[in-house]
Parts: sequence; C-alpha cells; structure tokens
Amino acid sequence: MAAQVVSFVRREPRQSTVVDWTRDELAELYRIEHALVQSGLTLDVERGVTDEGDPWFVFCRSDGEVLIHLARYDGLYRLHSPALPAPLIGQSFKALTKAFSNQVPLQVTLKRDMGPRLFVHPAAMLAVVIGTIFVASNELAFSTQPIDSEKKHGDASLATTSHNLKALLQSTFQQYIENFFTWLRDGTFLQQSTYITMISAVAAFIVGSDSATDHARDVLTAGNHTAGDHTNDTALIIAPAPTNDASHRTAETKSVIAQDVSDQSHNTSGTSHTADVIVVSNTSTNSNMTGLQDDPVLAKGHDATNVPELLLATAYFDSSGQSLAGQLSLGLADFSRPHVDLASYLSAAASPGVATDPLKDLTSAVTAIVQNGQSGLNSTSDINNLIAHAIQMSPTDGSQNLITYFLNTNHITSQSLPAAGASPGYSLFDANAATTLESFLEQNPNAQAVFNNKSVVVYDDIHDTTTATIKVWTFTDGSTIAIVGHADHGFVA
Amino acid sequence: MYTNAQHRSDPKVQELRREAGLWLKQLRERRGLSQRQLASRLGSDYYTFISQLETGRGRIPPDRYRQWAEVLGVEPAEFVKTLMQYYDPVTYGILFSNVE
Repeated sequence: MAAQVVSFVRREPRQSTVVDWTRDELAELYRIEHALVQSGLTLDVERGVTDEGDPWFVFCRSDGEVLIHLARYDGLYRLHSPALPAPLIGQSFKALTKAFSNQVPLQVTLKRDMGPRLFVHPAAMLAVVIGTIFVASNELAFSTQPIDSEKKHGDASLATTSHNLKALLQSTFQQYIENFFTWLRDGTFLQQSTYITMISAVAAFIVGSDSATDHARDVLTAGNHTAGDHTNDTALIIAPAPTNDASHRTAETKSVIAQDVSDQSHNTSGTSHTADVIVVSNTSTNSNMTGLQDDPVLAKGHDATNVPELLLATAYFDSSGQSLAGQLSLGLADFSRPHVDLASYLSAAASPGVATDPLKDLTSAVTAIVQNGQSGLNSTSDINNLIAHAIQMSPTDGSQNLITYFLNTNHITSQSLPAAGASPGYSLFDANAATTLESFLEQNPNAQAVFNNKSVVVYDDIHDTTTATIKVWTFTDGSTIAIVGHADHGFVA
Repeated sequence: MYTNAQHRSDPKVQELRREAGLWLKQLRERRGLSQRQLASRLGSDYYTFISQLETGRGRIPPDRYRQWAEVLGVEPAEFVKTLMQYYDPVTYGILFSNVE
C-alpha cells in the first residue's frame, strides 16, 4: 500500500477582508457613547480593524486608558474589560448582555410582589451594561489595590478576584437602577451618582419621547402595594425605537420581562435601536389582551392576568397576516433620531423655530438636571409640557390635564378614520399604516383617535383622566403618534 | 490595571502613542507574525487588542513587557527602554537624557 501523505496545513491568517462594523452597529455604539458623555462621563472612543479586517471599538478614559474593548471576529462579538472576571462573548450585541447577566447575576431588588417591576429591553440593556462596566472599570483603575483581570492568579486568589469584580459590578448596576427609580418616584437621586441618573435621562433625550406620568410616579411610591397585589404594578420599560431601514420600517413598542431579557431573542435582527423610556402601568383586569400571551417574550414568566397596558400587542397589528414578532409596522417616513449634540442644540435654542421643537422641553429638563443636580421632570407641569411639545400642541400652562386639553382645544380635532390607503387626515400614513390603525380601532371599540396634519393620538378611557399613561413616538419629520389612556376594560383581541 | 498620569488628549501624548504602535507593528512584521499569531504567542484572550495597541490606543501592561520582548525578539531592557520613550517620556528624559 502506497504511503499517503496527508498534509496538516497550518492555519494561515485569513486574507484581509474588511468586515468593519455595519452602519447599524456603529450607530448603536456611537449612540451609547453619546448617552454616556451626556451623562457626565468623560470618555473617548476609537475604532479600527485588524490586519484580518475584523473590527474593534474601545471606550477609553480621558487619559487614554482603555476600559472597554469591543470586537467582532470569528463570528462572535466580544467585550473585554478589566472589570470583568471573563470576557463577554456572544453572537450579537444582545447576546453580550446575556453573557453579562450570566456572569454577574444582577440583584435588582425591586420587591417584585410589592412594588414596581423592572423591564429593560436588550437594546437599551447594552448601554446599561457598558455604562456599568465603564464606571466599575474606572473605580478599579483608581482603587488602591488594582485588579488586573489578565494577571495569572492561584485558584483561591482568582476566585477572590472574580468575586470582588462581580460584587463591584453588581453594586454599580444596582446603584444605576435604584437611582433611576428614586428619580422617577421622588424626583431626586443620590447626589454622588448624578452621572448614573443622567444616563437614564439622556436615554430619554435621545429619542425625545419620555412619557413618565404622575400616575406612574405615584404607583412607584412605597406603601401603595400589598404582597401579591399586582394591580398597580408599574413597569419601567426601556424599549427600543428602531432606526430607519429603507426596506422595512418598524416601530417596536414591546417590552421584555426583566428576568427574561437575557434569554430571549426578540426579533429585531436587521434593525438597530435607540433607547426609549416608557412608563406604563399593569392592571390585573385586562385579561382580554390575549394577544400579549402569544408574544414569546411577554408570555414567558408572565401570568395571564398581569400584562402591561397600552402595549401594542403583536396580534392586533398583524394586518398583513404575518407575525410581526413584537413589532408595529407603520411604514412611516423615518423612525431614526438625529444625533443631537446637547450643547449645540441649546446654543441654537434662541433661534427662530426651535421653540416648537418637540425636544425642547426634554432638553431643558436634561440640562436642568445636569446643571442643578436636583431637578428635572419632577412636576406635572414639566411632564405635561414635555408631552405637549412632543405631540406638537401649543404649550399648556402646565397644570392642564392633557386629555382634557385634547378635547377642549381645536389644536387636535376628532375626525373619522381615514380610509385605508387614502389617509386624508394623516398624510404621512401609508396604506399599511392606515389599515393597521383601523384594524386596531375596530378591535378596540373603546379606543378613539384624533388627527391633525402631523400627529395622531389614540386614546382610551378618556373619562378617567387621573390614571392616564401616555406614549409618544416622535419622528424626524416632526410627525408623532401618541397613545393615551389605559386599558382597565381591556382591549378586545 | 495600571493608571497613567499622562493625558491622552495632549496631542504630544497621542503622537507618542501612535509612534509606539507603529514601532510595535514594525517589530511584529519583522518577525513575520500576524496580529492573531502574536496574540496567540502572548496568550492574549483577544487578538484585536494587538490592532488596538498598534493604532496607539492603550498600553502594554508592565507585567507583560518581558513576554512581549521575548516574542518580538528584542532584548527586554532595550524593549522597555524604547517603550518608556513613548509611554513615559518624562521619566525617560530624566533617566537617559545625560546618556543619549
């Protein structure tokens, strides 16, 4: 038998094929950078590609110290940091957040049965994770006993180091979350952690659609709940607002159960997201919202009678017959938000026309928080004016209830629904959007809609003006969609 | 982690870091190593770190100086001395200004 020579070819480096970050990936990374900078952190970023064309992106302290190194190669995303016991590795950005929560069990003690519940969407979660790691890394850098995760330790020492790192990350994350809830509930926050609260405020600023309401804040107040009573549970949802995709424009309005964030793969592939903050209330009486139970994310770990209100369930909007997997297809002009530099925005505030910009009040609020450290969207006046601007109403005196305002002013008038495809009352609606909205209203007879040229407001249970929750989508062309009201009597599936 | 009192925002510091990166890249290429191969020999978890360093971002941790020198085929003292020129020019100047 003739000898056969088998060549064990040494693996050669791949030929240089530049596979830089995609535009959506870069948009997400720079959005995170922007949020962190706006939050008061001093940092720098840089990116590059290796000799094999694999991309990396680093978050650095002002002195150049690299605190977070993100990379994508061999089909995997990787996040390295001195603050992490081990690198985070996953098949997507979202998977990195899962890896983080696997590595650092997050102890978000929000009294699940007695108070507010936390919902964080994976898209926003990456910003939270990076912010947390950045802050924790920075603390490590200035600690008296530096920890180098790359150092080789003995087993015992390594275990101790890992434990310390996890504890630091846990406390940083916990501080972030608690601060945000304190801010929501009381309008105040821990002075020493201003920058952390700022991240949340700026997350709202990015999309300009913060919709915290007095009701939401009220139910966050301690003592309102009894064990096992979910009736007034409030969910904080940091949800995504997808950027524009020329071929498929969608607005995602779904929330994700906090506990399930890490192990769910919500169908958002192909889109990138900005952070959005929504505050809604749960009720125990809207069990008719069966559509929510069909959602693979919402259904998991969620009982049938405890579902968030005002969430647009997939089933209601599946006018094309396809599962939208948590997405609301509206086909509007552009869902992306411009990258707004706060300083330049404020400097332009005195210019004509800016006063009507829907970002104005939120910008002012963020600025007030930054400058004063103790104020912000603390009052009915702040919030009402914010929302009024967001839906392009004339500014109110701040004390008016918005729903009453809708009905008592001529700024927005009630009209019949536009015929599908015609959309006379709302020129920016395309046929699909009109059909979707019409379908929604047909299935939910208690819901009503009002239109003007630039905005549509869908509201529910207008007679109860004390518990309204409001969600506003503001688009780059200035048009808006707002949903007002609550679903105590149930949206009929 | 090692802190560094230098402010990278200083253009001089940025330039020195870039020069350090180029120098490291030259050493690597002279050895015929790809970035991935160098990272492998250094036992680094992620090879993109090499590209980052060669761009002028970040620094080699001091406890890795000797290993880097060996892999790149440079005498350790000379390696550290050259690196110091880029990473810590003030100290370098004090130590070696009379000699050079």
